Amino acid sequence: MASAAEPHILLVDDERSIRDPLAQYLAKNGLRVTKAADAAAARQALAAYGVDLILLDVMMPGEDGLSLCAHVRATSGIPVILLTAKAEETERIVGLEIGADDYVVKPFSPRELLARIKVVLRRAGERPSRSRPAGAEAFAFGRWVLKTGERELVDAEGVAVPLSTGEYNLLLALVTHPRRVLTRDQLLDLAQGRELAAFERSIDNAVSRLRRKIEAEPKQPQLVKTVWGGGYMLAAEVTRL
Amino acid sequence: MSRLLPRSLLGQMLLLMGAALLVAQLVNFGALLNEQQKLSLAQNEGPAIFRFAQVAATVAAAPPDQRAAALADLPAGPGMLYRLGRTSVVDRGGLGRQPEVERRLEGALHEAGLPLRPVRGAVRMEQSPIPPPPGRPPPLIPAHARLKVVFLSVDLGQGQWLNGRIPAPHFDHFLAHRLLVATFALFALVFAAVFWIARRLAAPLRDLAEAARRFDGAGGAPVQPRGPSDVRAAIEAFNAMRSRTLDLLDEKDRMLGAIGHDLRTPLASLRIRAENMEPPDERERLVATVEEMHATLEDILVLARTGRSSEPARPVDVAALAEAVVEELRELGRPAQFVPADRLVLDVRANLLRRALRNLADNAVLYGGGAWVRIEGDAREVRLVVEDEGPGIREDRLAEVLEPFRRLDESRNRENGGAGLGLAIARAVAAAHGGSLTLENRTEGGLRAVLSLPSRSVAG
Repeated sequence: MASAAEPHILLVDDERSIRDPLAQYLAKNGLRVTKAADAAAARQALAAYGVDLILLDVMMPGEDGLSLCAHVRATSGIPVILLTAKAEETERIVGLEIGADDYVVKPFSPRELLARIKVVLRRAGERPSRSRPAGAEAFAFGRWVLKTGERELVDAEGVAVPLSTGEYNLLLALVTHPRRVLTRDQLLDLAQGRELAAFERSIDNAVSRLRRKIEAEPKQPQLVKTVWGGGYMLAAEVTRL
Repeated sequence: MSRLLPRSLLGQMLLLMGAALLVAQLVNFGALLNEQQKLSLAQNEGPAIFRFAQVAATVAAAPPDQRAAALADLPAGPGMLYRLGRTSVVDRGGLGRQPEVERRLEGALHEAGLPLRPVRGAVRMEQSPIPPPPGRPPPLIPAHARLKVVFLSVDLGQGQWLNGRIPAPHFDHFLAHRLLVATFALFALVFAAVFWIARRLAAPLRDLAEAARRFDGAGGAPVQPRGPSDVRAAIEAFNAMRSRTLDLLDEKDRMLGAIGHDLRTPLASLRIRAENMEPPDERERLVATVEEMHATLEDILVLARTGRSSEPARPVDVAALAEAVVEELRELGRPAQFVPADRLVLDVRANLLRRALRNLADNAVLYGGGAWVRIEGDAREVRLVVEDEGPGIREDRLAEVLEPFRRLDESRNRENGGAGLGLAIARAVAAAHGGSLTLENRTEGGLRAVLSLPSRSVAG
């Protein structure tokens, strides 16, 4: 493995006009970058070096990114972030289901990509033994299923209940920590996936909106319970599907 | 009047055939009746006329004062009556003279040796049967039958007319019945045939019309060619056109995909390079431009693909969707408010609808200082209402802003963002769900955008 101070990134993209400036940008920001122009070169690089994370373009001539991602997932625990030119929902979900840890849609902000790389690296560092990363998962609780690939909440009858980004992150934090009291600060920490400065003001509002959407009787919540003096808790069995 | 006429192929064919058949039957009936009359004259009145001529010849041979006695001596047939009189019973009774009968009578008299006498002849239908003379067997013609009675007169000279009243057998009603039955049988047969052929024509035509109406550019099965060859040819031509259209649409999708990919890659490259640029304010401007180009590209792709979105329609809580859109604006610190509403489930394409509503709310925030969103539903439709408190839009330009690339700030300065596709996308999304988008100025000021979806919304 490369040194912890300088994570080693394998950048796989057939477009030189992206590969070169992106590698330059990432190197400038403290990452060691190895470039590969196609899947074959990427496989060679994987065999030759210890890699901490793979940035993988989906659409490539020859073997495509999804196929390479599946191979990486089957043979190692190296996290993968997909670079895709398609904003199509299905593409994204397929990528996450194959086992990618995250994805960014071209054109992306390099700063945002850098932030995501750091998040994924941190998660991989926290759970070194886990080979199955949090790509596309589904959590069943009560009569609900939260799907992280589609980022949607579906009830027992298959009706999708759209959530705002903040509500989604909050619910994800709750279902990934079932039957644990989470303080407002902890929730903020967990739910703050990205720049949600304005979200801070209203954890309580978000909880009451969530309750209205998922509780049978929002006034007497059975799923998201308030713990006096503590915070909130998901009072339900959560099953990973 | 024309509203009463049938409009369908089947109805029109039946009406036309019925009318033509009726006219043909009437002509036929008339010809038959005429023929039948001649036949009946020969068969029925013929013997009566011959009989009368015989009697007339016998009576005329006697001197005028003994004619009555001579007449009395002659045997009379059943129901026959002969009288001598000063005038013709036909004239006296005001019966309609029948030239054909009279012509035959003249002929019969001529043969009996009484040529060139004034004659009268008439035929009348009588309801009351003439009772058979006592002691005689009942007549062959049933008593209840309507009788045809022939009235004949001949001027015997010396101021004496011989009048005869002779019943003739009459079978005309039987013929009429037969004709009626034949007519009905004919009608039934022809109607059945027309019905069959018209249905054979109409059913595939209906299929064709239905397929054309349902065609949404997203595939489905071609129409099964059936029916007569002309209809078959029309269906096959339609199928060919349908597959050409699908090919064109596929081609369009491929092209849009290629454009999207080919533009996104250099945009991505630009975006990355911009990050390394100095000075920072120049960099920010370049980044903003690249991001705007990207937004416009995405809008164009979405607008062009709305009708053929790959996203399937599925049940979605539309009230939660509207709330999520508003919440996302609030999370970004924008002034927006949603009126809490109960769960309202429709079959929709959630991502498209979310985008449409987001566009409306963004406009309200941008031009109207804030988005006030609510949802209303009744049995017929669900309305997503976005209101603002801005200046509104001049009435004569309300329709115009729904067109793609139409912006109201004439300068077309881009500082307010967007290429003018937001409302066009919202309208296209509404249309793809069988709904509509309307804009109106609120009486209390500001603009109201209403995205209506049919209550049983099925995205076509």
